[in-house]
Amino acid sequence: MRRSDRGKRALTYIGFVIISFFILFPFLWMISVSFRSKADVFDPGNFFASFTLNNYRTIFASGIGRLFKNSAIIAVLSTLVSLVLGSLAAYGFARYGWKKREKRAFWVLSQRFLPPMAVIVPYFMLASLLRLVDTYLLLIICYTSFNLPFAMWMMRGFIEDLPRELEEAAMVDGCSQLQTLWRIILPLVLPGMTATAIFCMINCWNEFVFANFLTTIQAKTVPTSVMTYLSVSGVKWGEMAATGTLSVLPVLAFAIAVQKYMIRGLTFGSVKG
Amino acid sequence: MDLELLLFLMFNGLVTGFVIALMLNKYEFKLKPLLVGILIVPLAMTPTIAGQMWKLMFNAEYGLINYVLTALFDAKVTWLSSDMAFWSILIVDIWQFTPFVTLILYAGLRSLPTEPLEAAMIDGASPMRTIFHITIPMMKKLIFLALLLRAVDALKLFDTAFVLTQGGPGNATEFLSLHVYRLVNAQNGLLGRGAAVAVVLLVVVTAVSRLLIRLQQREEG
Repeated sequence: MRRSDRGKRALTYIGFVIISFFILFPFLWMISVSFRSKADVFDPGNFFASFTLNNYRTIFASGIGRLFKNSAIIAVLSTLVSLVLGSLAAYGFARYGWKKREKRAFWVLSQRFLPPMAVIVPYFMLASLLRLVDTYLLLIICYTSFNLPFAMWMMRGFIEDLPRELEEAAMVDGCSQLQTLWRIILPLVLPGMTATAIFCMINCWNEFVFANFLTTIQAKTVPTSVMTYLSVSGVKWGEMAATGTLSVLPVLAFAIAVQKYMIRGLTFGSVKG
Repeated sequence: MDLELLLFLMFNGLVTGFVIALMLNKYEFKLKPLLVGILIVPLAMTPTIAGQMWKLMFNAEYGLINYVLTALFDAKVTWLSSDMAFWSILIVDIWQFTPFVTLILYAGLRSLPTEPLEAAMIDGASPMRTIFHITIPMMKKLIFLALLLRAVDALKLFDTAFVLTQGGPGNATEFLSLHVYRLVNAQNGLLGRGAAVAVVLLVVVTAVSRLLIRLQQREEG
C-alpha cells in the first residue's frame, strides 16, 4: 500500500469517527437520560450519577408492551404489502413503455406529497363511515398509501439501472416473465430492496400524525405515547427517553440483520448473465 | 421561510450525504456494518421523541450543548430564541435526514456495475474525474430521487418543528404544515382556512417536484 493512500485511509476513518459522534450524540444522551432520576435530568455534567431503572419499570407498568406489539404488526404488514406491490409496479414502469407513462408515475408519487396534516380530517371522516377507526387495517392502509409510492420509485430506480440484456438472456433461455423477475431481477436488486424495506419499516414505525388522530385505544402505536408524557406538571423526560430507547432497538436490530443483503450487491460485477 | 429552508436542506443534505456515501464505498473495513447501523440511528429514533431530546439538549440553562459550550469556550447560545430557532431546527433536520440520503446513495453505489470504474482506472483517470464523469452520471436517477424525496419532506416538515418550537417564538419557525395545524386545531377551529393552506402547500410541493422531474427528463433526453 502506498504511503499517500494510507494517509487518505486514516483521514477517512477520522472523518467517520467525527460523523459518528455527531450522529450518536443525541442517541447516547437519550439513553443516559432514560437511566436518570427526575432531578438529574437537568444536571448534564453529572454522568451516571444516579443509575436507576425506575423509568423502565414505570413504562412497562403502564402497558407500553401492547403498543410495541401494535406498532410491530402494522409496520411489518404495511412494509410487506408495499414491497411486493411496489416492486412489481416498479418493474412495469421501468420496462414497459406506454403513453403517458411518466405522468402515471408522477401520479403515484403524488400520494407521498400529501402532508398528513392536510388529509387527516377527510381520512378520519371516511374511516368512521367505514367503521375502521382504531383498527390495524386502517393504519396499514394509511401507511401503505405513502410507502407504496416510495417503494415503487426507489425500486424503479434500481431496476432501471440493471442492464436489459440479463433479462433478455433469461427469456431466451426459456424463463417466463415471473421467473425472470424472481430469479434474475430480484437477486440483483436485493441491496436496493433491503434499503427500501428498512426505510418503509422506519416510516411506519415512527409515524405520528395518522397514528395520533386515527387511533384511540386498540391500535395505538409507540410514537403516540409521547402525548402521555407531556403532562401539565411538566415533561416526563425519563419515561420518554426510556420509551425512545426501547423503540430504537427493534429497528436497529432489523437494519443490522438485513445488512448482509445490502453488501451482497458487491457481487454484481461477477454475475453471469 | 420555507423556500430558504428547502434550498438549504436539499443541497446540504445531498452534498454531505453523497460525500459520506462515497467515503463508505471507497474502503472495506470490518466495522462497516456498525457504521451503517450508526447511520440508521437518527432515522430509527421516533421524530417526536428525538425532537424532545433535542429540546432538552438545546435548553439554555440546563441543556447539554450549552453545558459543553460553557466548559470549552465559556459561551452560551440561546438556541430556541427567535433569531436562533430556525437554525436549531436546521441542525436537527440535518442530523436526522443526511443519513437517509447517504443510505440511498450508498445502496445505489453498491449496485453500480464495476466495469466502467475499472476501465476508467486502467485509462488513468484521476479519482475526482472518475467521480464526476462516471459515478455521478451513472447515479443520476437516484440522485434526483434523493433530491426529490428530500425536497418533499423538507416542505412537509412538521414533527421536529412542532415539538421544538411549536412555530414560535412568535412565528419565526412557523412552516406551512405548522400553520395548517395551528389553523385547524381545536382552539382555532378554522377547518376551511386550514384546508385552503393545505391545498396551497400541496400545489407548492407538486410544483417543486414537477420541476425536478422535468430537469431529470431533460438530462436524459
